[in-house]
Amino acid sequence: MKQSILKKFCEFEKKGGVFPLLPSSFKLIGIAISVIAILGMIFTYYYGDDHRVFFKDLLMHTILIGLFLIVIARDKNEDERIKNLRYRAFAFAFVLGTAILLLLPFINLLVNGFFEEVLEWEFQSFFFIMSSYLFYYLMYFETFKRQL
Amino acid sequence: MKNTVHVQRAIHKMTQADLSKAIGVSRQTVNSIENNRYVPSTILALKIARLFKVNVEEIFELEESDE
Repeated sequence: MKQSILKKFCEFEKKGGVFPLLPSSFKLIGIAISVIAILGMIFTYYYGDDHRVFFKDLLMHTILIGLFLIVIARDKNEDERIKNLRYRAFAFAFVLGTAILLLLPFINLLVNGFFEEVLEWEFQSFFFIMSSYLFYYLMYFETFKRQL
Repeated sequence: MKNTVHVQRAIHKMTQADLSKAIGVSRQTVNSIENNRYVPSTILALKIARLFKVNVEEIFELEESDE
Protein backbone atom coordinates (compact mmCIF):
# COMPACT_ATOMS: atom_id res chain seq x y z
CA MET A 1 0.00 0.00 0.00
CA LYS A 2 2.69 2.43 1.12
CA GLN A 3 4.88 1.46 -1.81
CA SER A 4 2.13 2.06 -4.33
CA ILE A 5 1.53 5.58 -2.98
CA LEU A 6 5.26 6.25 -3.23
CA LYS A 7 5.28 4.82 -6.75
CA LYS A 8 2.35 7.03 -7.76
CA PHE A 9 4.10 10.04 -6.27
CA CYS A 10 7.28 9.18 -8.19
CA GLU A 11 5.27 8.97 -11.43
CA PHE A 12 3.69 12.32 -10.59
CA GLU A 13 7.12 13.86 -9.96
CA LYS A 14 8.51 12.36 -13.19
CA LYS A 15 5.85 14.25 -15.12
CA GLY A 16 7.16 17.48 -13.66
CA GLY A 17 5.46 17.35 -10.27
CA VAL A 18 2.72 19.72 -11.24
CA PHE A 19 0.91 21.20 -8.25
CA PRO A 20 -2.84 20.69 -8.27
CA LEU A 21 -3.44 24.35 -9.03
CA LEU A 22 -6.82 26.06 -8.92
CA PRO A 23 -8.40 27.53 -12.09
CA SER A 24 -7.14 31.00 -13.07
CA SER A 25 -10.45 32.63 -12.02
CA PHE A 26 -9.42 31.99 -8.38
CA LYS A 27 -6.80 34.72 -8.79
CA LEU A 28 -9.58 37.31 -9.03
CA ILE A 29 -11.48 35.65 -6.17
CA GLY A 30 -8.31 35.80 -4.04
CA ILE A 31 -7.77 39.48 -4.86
CA ALA A 32 -11.43 40.23 -4.05
CA ILE A 33 -11.24 38.38 -0.71
CA SER A 34 -8.02 40.22 0.28
CA VAL A 35 -9.37 43.65 -0.71
CA ILE A 36 -12.68 43.09 1.09
CA ALA A 37 -10.79 41.89 4.19
CA ILE A 38 -8.52 44.98 4.12
CA LEU A 39 -11.57 47.26 3.75
CA GLY A 40 -13.23 45.34 6.59
CA MET A 41 -10.19 45.92 8.78
CA ILE A 42 -10.27 49.66 8.08
CA PHE A 43 -14.00 49.68 8.87
CA THR A 44 -13.60 47.79 12.17
CA TYR A 45 -10.68 50.07 13.15
CA TYR A 46 -12.92 53.15 13.00
CA TYR A 47 -16.35 51.73 13.79
CA GLY A 48 -15.55 48.54 15.69
CA ASP A 49 -16.96 47.95 19.16
CA ASP A 50 -15.87 45.49 21.88
CA HIS A 51 -15.24 42.71 19.36
CA ARG A 52 -12.68 44.75 17.46
CA VAL A 53 -9.76 42.41 18.31
CA PHE A 54 -11.73 39.31 17.28
CA PHE A 55 -12.65 40.83 13.91
CA LYS A 56 -9.10 42.10 13.38
CA ASP A 57 -7.69 38.58 13.84
CA LEU A 58 -10.41 37.05 11.67
CA LEU A 59 -9.90 39.57 8.86
CA MET A 60 -6.10 39.21 9.00
CA HIS A 61 -6.57 35.48 8.56
CA THR A 62 -8.95 36.16 5.65
CA ILE A 63 -6.25 38.29 3.96
CA LEU A 64 -3.88 35.33 4.19
CA ILE A 65 -6.50 33.02 2.65
CA GLY A 66 -6.98 35.52 -0.20
CA LEU A 67 -3.22 35.76 -0.80
CA PHE A 68 -2.91 31.97 -0.74
CA LEU A 69 -5.66 31.65 -3.37
CA ILE A 70 -3.73 34.09 -5.59
CA VAL A 71 -0.56 32.00 -5.11
CA ILE A 72 -2.10 28.63 -6.03
CA ALA A 73 -4.31 29.89 -8.87
CA ARG A 74 -3.22 28.81 -12.33
CA ASP A 75 -1.81 31.53 -14.57
CA LYS A 76 -3.79 32.48 -17.67
CA ASN A 77 -0.95 31.10 -19.82
CA GLU A 78 0.30 28.27 -17.62
CA ASP A 79 3.10 26.62 -19.61
CA GLU A 80 6.51 25.15 -18.79
CA ARG A 81 8.17 28.59 -18.44
CA ILE A 82 5.55 29.71 -15.91
CA LYS A 83 5.76 26.37 -14.10
CA ASN A 84 9.54 26.74 -13.91
CA LEU A 85 9.18 30.29 -12.63
CA ARG A 86 6.62 29.13 -10.07
CA TYR A 87 9.07 26.65 -8.53
CA ARG A 88 11.85 29.25 -8.50
CA ALA A 89 9.48 31.71 -6.80
CA PHE A 90 8.62 29.06 -4.15
CA ALA A 91 12.33 28.47 -3.52
CA PHE A 92 13.06 32.21 -3.39
CA ALA A 93 10.21 32.85 -0.95
CA PHE A 94 11.29 29.97 1.28
CA VAL A 95 14.96 30.95 1.43
CA LEU A 96 14.42 34.71 1.81
CA GLY A 97 11.55 34.28 4.28
CA THR A 98 13.51 31.83 6.45
CA ALA A 99 16.71 33.91 6.28
CA ILE A 100 14.88 37.05 7.40
CA LEU A 101 13.09 35.21 10.21
CA LEU A 102 16.40 33.77 11.42
CA LEU A 103 18.16 37.14 11.23
CA LEU A 104 15.41 39.16 12.93
CA PRO A 105 16.43 38.32 16.53
CA PHE A 106 19.96 39.55 15.82
CA ILE A 107 18.66 42.74 14.20
CA ASN A 108 16.48 43.17 17.27
CA LEU A 109 19.54 42.69 19.49
CA LEU A 110 21.40 45.41 17.64
CA VAL A 111 18.47 47.81 17.76
CA ASN A 112 17.36 47.26 21.37
CA GLY A 113 20.72 46.32 22.85
CA PHE A 114 21.52 43.25 24.92
CA PHE A 115 19.49 41.97 27.89
CA GLU A 116 16.36 43.92 27.03
CA GLU A 117 13.53 41.58 26.22
CA VAL A 118 15.51 40.48 23.21
CA LEU A 119 13.19 37.92 21.70
CA GLU A 120 9.85 39.52 22.39
CA TRP A 121 9.19 41.16 19.12
CA GLU A 122 5.61 41.85 18.34
CA PHE A 123 5.77 41.00 14.68
CA GLN A 124 6.92 37.44 15.29
CA SER A 125 3.38 36.37 14.69
CA PHE A 126 1.58 33.91 12.47
CA PHE A 127 0.41 36.74 10.22
CA PHE A 128 3.88 38.23 9.82
CA ILE A 129 5.48 34.90 8.95
CA MET A 130 2.75 33.74 6.57
CA SER A 131 2.30 37.08 4.82
CA SER A 132 6.04 37.51 4.30
CA TYR A 133 6.32 34.10 2.62
CA LEU A 134 3.29 34.75 0.40
CA PHE A 135 4.46 38.28 -0.39
CA TYR A 136 8.00 37.21 -1.34
CA TYR A 137 6.52 34.55 -3.62
CA LEU A 138 4.15 36.98 -5.35
CA MET A 139 6.86 39.65 -5.63
CA TYR A 140 9.26 37.24 -7.38
CA PHE A 141 6.63 35.58 -9.55
CA GLU A 142 4.90 38.74 -10.78
CA THR A 143 8.20 40.62 -11.35
CA PHE A 144 9.95 37.90 -13.33
CA LYS A 145 6.88 36.73 -15.24
CA ARG A 146 7.39 39.66 -17.57
CA GLN A 147 11.19 39.88 -17.34
CA LEU A 148 12.19 36.27 -18.02
CA MET B 1 22.66 28.50 -25.39
CA LYS B 2 21.80 30.40 -28.55
CA ASN B 3 19.10 29.51 -31.01
CA THR B 4 17.83 30.26 -34.48
CA VAL B 5 14.12 29.94 -33.76
CA HIS B 6 13.37 33.37 -35.22
CA VAL B 7 15.22 32.43 -38.44
CA GLN B 8 13.32 29.15 -38.77
CA ARG B 9 10.11 30.97 -38.04
CA ALA B 10 10.85 33.46 -40.81
CA ILE B 11 11.65 30.63 -43.25
CA HIS B 12 8.32 28.99 -42.47
CA LYS B 13 6.54 32.35 -42.52
CA MET B 14 5.15 31.91 -39.04
CA THR B 15 4.40 34.53 -36.43
CA GLN B 16 5.26 34.08 -32.76
CA ALA B 17 1.55 33.47 -32.12
CA ASP B 18 1.43 30.72 -34.80
CA LEU B 19 4.47 29.00 -33.34
CA SER B 20 3.18 29.26 -29.79
CA LYS B 21 -0.11 27.69 -30.80
CA ALA B 22 1.64 24.89 -32.70
CA ILE B 23 3.87 23.88 -29.77
CA GLY B 24 1.36 24.58 -27.01
CA VAL B 25 3.00 27.41 -25.07
CA SER B 26 2.26 31.12 -24.65
CA ARG B 27 3.50 33.77 -27.07
CA GLN B 28 5.58 35.30 -24.26
CA THR B 29 7.42 31.99 -23.89
CA VAL B 30 8.28 31.94 -27.61
CA ASN B 31 9.48 35.54 -27.29
CA SER B 32 11.61 34.62 -24.24
CA ILE B 33 13.17 31.68 -26.11
CA GLU B 34 13.98 33.83 -29.14
CA ASN B 35 15.60 36.48 -26.96
CA ASN B 36 17.66 33.86 -25.09
CA ARG B 37 15.96 34.68 -21.79
CA TYR B 38 14.53 31.19 -21.37
CA VAL B 39 16.09 27.82 -22.20
CA PRO B 40 13.27 25.46 -23.22
CA SER B 41 12.99 21.91 -21.92
CA THR B 42 14.20 19.04 -24.09
CA ILE B 43 10.59 18.14 -24.89
CA LEU B 44 9.81 21.67 -26.11
CA ALA B 45 13.07 21.85 -28.08
CA LEU B 46 12.21 18.55 -29.80
CA LYS B 47 8.69 19.80 -30.57
CA ILE B 48 10.13 22.94 -32.19
CA ALA B 49 12.64 20.88 -34.21
CA ARG B 50 9.93 18.48 -35.36
CA LEU B 51 7.71 21.36 -36.41
CA PHE B 52 10.46 22.91 -38.53
CA LYS B 53 11.57 19.45 -39.75
CA VAL B 54 15.22 19.93 -38.75
CA ASN B 55 17.55 18.47 -36.12
CA VAL B 56 17.52 20.05 -32.67
CA GLU B 57 21.16 21.06 -33.05
CA GLU B 58 20.34 23.06 -36.16
CA ILE B 59 18.16 25.28 -33.99
CA PHE B 60 19.81 25.16 -30.57
CA GLU B 61 23.55 25.51 -30.16
CA LEU B 62 25.75 25.51 -27.07
CA GLU B 63 27.80 28.61 -26.37
CA GLU B 64 31.26 28.77 -24.81
CA SER B 65 29.75 29.95 -21.55
CA ASP B 66 27.69 26.72 -21.34
CA GLU B 67 30.77 24.48 -21.37
